[in-house]
Amino acid sequence: MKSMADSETGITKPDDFERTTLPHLDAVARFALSLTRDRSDADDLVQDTYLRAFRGWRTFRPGSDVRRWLFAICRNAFLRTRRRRGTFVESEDGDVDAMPAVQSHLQAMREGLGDLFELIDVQPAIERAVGQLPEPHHSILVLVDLEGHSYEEAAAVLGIPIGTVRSRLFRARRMIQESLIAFAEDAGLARRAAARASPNEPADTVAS
Amino acid sequence: MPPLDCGHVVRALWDYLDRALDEAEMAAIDAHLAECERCRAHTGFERRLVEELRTLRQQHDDPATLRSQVLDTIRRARAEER
Repeated sequence: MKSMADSETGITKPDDFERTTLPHLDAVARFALSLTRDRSDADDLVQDTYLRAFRGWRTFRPGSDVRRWLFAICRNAFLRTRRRRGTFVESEDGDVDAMPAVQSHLQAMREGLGDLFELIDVQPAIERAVGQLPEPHHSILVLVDLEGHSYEEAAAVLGIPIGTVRSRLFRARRMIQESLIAFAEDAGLARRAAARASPNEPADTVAS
Repeated sequence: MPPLDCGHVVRALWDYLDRALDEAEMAAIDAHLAECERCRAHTGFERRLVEELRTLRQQHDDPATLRSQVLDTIRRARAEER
């Protein structure tokens, strides 16, 4: 079997490009679709990804993870498109844990929305909320929650520390959760549910 | 590992759901959840959220055409280089 690169020089050969990268086409296409949420935009993004990968093939280090390399190119191409369309909003990172999400859940419980997932068809609301997430939180959520990458793998694709992956992912999930609760409130479910609840029910707190 | 309080558990909730904690921490949280109904409710809610997110993953419905388009793109790029 022909080696991907000259083992002595470590230089990639142009003809190896298709053989090495095309087995990952389905994964790249799925990732592009998760990022764009639009089939036509996703196809354009895949073409752009492979074109950029082809042109940068000589910079690919043999033996490194080609799928991760393609995902990074895909994600960067996606961000360039978003910037051109003026939909790129950079958000601050911070030290984030799950506590604020639990507080949101407590608030939802007080409003009678503790069983939110049983009250509404959450899929359309979640899909819309994911599409509205600002970068860099959107890409992290797609990589970890939709594509099933570990924190370590997502960090490698994005070239950021694992701690940053965690904080961005947790913030993204919290934004999705808050969007869902707002969606239910806007639909009047909180009022109807609260009316069923006892008016004297004490407010919950996170214990200890 | 000593028993955990609720504050510790909810702060580690997403790491727990993502199985990003070590075995001892996972076991300590499991033990807390077995005893604490409120933390169990929080965990159930957040787990459902993550599960719903995972269902958004989509497959391309025409991979053969996409592959053909990508191959054409590569051929054109290669021809331009020559």
